[in-house]
Amino acid sequence: MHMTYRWVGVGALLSSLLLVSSLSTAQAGEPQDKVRETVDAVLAVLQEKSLQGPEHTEKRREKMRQSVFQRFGFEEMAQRALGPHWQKRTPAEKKEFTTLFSELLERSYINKIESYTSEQKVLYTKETIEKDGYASVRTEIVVKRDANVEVEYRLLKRDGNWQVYDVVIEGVSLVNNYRTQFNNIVSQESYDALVKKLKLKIEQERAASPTK
Amino acid sequence: MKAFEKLVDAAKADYYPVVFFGVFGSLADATNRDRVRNPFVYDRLKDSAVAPVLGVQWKFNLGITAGKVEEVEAELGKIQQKHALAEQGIPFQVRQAYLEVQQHQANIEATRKGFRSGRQWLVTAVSNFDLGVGPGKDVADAAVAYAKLRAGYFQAIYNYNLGLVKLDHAAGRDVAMVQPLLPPPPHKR
Repeated sequence: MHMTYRWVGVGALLSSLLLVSSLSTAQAGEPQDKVRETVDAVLAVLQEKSLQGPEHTEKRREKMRQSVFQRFGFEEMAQRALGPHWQKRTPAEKKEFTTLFSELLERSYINKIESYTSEQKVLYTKETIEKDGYASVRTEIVVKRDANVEVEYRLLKRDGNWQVYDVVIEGVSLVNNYRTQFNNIVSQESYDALVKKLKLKIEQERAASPTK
Repeated sequence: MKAFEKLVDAAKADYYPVVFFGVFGSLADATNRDRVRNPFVYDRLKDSAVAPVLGVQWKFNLGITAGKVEEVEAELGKIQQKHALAEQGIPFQVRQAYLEVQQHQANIEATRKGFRSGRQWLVTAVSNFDLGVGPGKDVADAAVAYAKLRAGYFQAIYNYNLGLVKLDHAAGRDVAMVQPLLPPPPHKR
């Protein structure tokens, strides 16, 4: 179960950060290179001796956040997750929602990322680049004593930069999943109720984590 | 079976006489006796002799030999029946073992699908819980279901491998020789 939490957390958004080493079965294109860059950057932070230990938690997470935020398009993810309700929001509401969504994703999974082990490896199995600026990078997380975990990163090229807008774990698209959940809450309750739930969760996470 | 065939031959041999030929010799020279050279007087303590011997031994035991032969032949018959039965049963055992392997193979595919579904449920439940839009109970339920489905999947793989061993035993062939005859298991495709 603990192992399951671990790979689920990493795979959801920052699963690439579990890596100790990554292997490619074919010559990589730009999207795969970009994903790998982020992986290596976060890995370097995790392995940096001067940043290890609970006293350096905030500094370590800040460095990881910088690497991750360069590669993940949180606004795009938030827009897709909110789906049809995004257009109805004011710019201020959109900004607020994106901030809440990003913070929750970062908070929820950073602990799991930090608990990676050197026994886990990632294989880059397939890269697909489409003409309209979309790409996907398929990976497999090799886990000992369990079946491999399939994680696919879906990227979008915007302003010359490849950004991840969705992560698909074992066939489950996180963006699609969140869209369903958010739509249920907004439809049955309200958008404000959704925002309230997200804020409550952040408060709980902050209370549980003394560093922030 | 060969041992009992030999026993039958040995029992039947008692029907026939045993003819033997030998040479008898004697040499005696006691110190306190005079040698007697009368050919009609034989002193066994002071004489020497060599003689050929031809003999015949024939057991007349009033049917006991026949009884013994019949007893051993009955044992031989029993062994021969067992052998024939075993030979008839081998194809049945091989087929049964092969069909079991096929069944286990199908179980692997079925449990693999369930295992994957369990994972997907767990991914969904954990993701929702992490964002505060799903209850913790869903995560617990998904985790329990995942554990059960995972156990079922690996049990199916174990049963398949065990079935291969049984097939090898029934067919009397090495597992490496038997396995190429079967289609590869779904989880290794």
